[in-house]
Amino acid sequence: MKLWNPLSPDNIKDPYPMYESLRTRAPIFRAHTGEWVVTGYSDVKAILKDNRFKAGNKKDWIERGVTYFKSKDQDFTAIAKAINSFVLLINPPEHGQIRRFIMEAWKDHEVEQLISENVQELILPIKSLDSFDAVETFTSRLPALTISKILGVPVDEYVRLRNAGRQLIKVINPYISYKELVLMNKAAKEFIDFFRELITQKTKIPEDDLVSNIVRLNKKSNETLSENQLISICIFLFIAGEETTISFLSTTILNIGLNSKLKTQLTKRLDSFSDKVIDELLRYDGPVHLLGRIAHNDFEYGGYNIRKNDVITLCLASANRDQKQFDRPNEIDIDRYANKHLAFGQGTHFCLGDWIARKQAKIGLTAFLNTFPNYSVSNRIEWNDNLSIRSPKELRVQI
Amino acid sequence: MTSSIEIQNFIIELIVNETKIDRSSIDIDASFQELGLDSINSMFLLEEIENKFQLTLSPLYFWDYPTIRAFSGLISEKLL
Ligand code: HEM
Repeated sequence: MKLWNPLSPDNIKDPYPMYESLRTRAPIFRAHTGEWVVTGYSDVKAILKDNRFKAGNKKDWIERGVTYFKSKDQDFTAIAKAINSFVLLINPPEHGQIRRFIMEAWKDHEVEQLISENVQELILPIKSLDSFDAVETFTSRLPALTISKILGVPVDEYVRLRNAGRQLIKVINPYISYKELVLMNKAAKEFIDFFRELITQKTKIPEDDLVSNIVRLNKKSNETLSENQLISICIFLFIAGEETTISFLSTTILNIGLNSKLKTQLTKRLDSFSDKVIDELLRYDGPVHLLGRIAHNDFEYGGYNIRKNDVITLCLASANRDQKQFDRPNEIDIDRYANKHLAFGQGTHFCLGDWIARKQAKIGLTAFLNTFPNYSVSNRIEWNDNLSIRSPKELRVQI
Repeated sequence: MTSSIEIQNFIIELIVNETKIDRSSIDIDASFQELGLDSINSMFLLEEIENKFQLTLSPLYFWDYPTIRAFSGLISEKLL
């Protein structure tokens, strides 16, 4: 048995036993796939804050891939172009410039009203059904609908962009197939064309939305960003909160549906999805399982010799179940105290959308539980075939 | 029926084309890494193998079955 087997369907269904045996036997593990796999809380946290470990290993990899596939007459340049200014994949000093730019443009955090309307709009058509797929009808639509309205994307485009986004986000997966690259390149082209057009339009007639703010801010700033950079920034804003939120909503609906004691506890509370509860749900089964880093040069870490360009895979979801950090890590304790989970990362690249993710979860899950207090789910779930951001393919809910 | 040997020969052919190593110097028990495969060119070869034998293989196959012998053995089992 291999300690690290991240694509086996059993491990995607339930990766926690694999993480636990790694944490006990080899918390820093040189896997047969070539990378270092890190599973313990203190190491994951330390490495996220250690600037010898850089972000963006997949960006380098895609760029090398583009060059390689040119020699096979296959053009993947759209992927490289689309991800070129993904804040997630770039390092200081450019990282700080783009991150500050986004924060400056996106100051309006008043989104409760908008999210409530979206939730109502999505629940209406499923309200009276006996059974439905919660992923297709609800969890995968909510984040795309919300970010579309915030960015100023016409609402009739949101399903198409959701589909493209679910392809392009695969760029952060540690292992990708050729067929996936082909689909990702198609999605990248769609996004580039779409946002180029939208940016042109918002430059001519700015409105009250995030893309217009981005265009305005760029106009008056000293270090102007190029059109390609703006396009890439907008693409990332669209997709950053998509797969993550889909995963969190779906996994949580599943976990609550399978745990009647928890469901009763939550239903009884006045504030079922308080920050504390959301934090515990994120710790227990958060969306982001794997994050990639790359060693900037040769150095020693924790007694291991790390070589320049070594890839490091950090298992956030494993860190969040580390018994050295959390009492009874495999239990959901909605009153858990001092819950310093790592579901949103740590340090330089700490999630920029944690606030909106929390609000969507709170409003979306409260409405779901109120509308369908007696819903049930089956444990026989098919999962999407990667572990980076783990989410069910489909979630059949019975009312 | 495709025999393990035929599969081996097909994979050797692919590796020779890709890496320009001399065919006679290919050791079927050497790791793919030693033969010059990396995470990018292996993706292309995996696609060629999938197309040739009409299979779907996990992107980790070259790592999980890291020699020509182990890999071909597995494919021939899958084709049974
Ligand atoms: C439950 C939902 C979410 C989870 C669990 C989550 C998790 C994360 C994590 C772990 C990172 C750090 C990645 C790294 O260090 O490599 C990150 C970064 C980021 N997230 Fe989220 N995220 C969520 C929702 C969102 C939403 C809704 C947005 C809004 C658009 C968003 C925007 C971002 C951005 C822009 C970054 C990059 C920050 C940087 O590199 O400086 N996220 N997220």
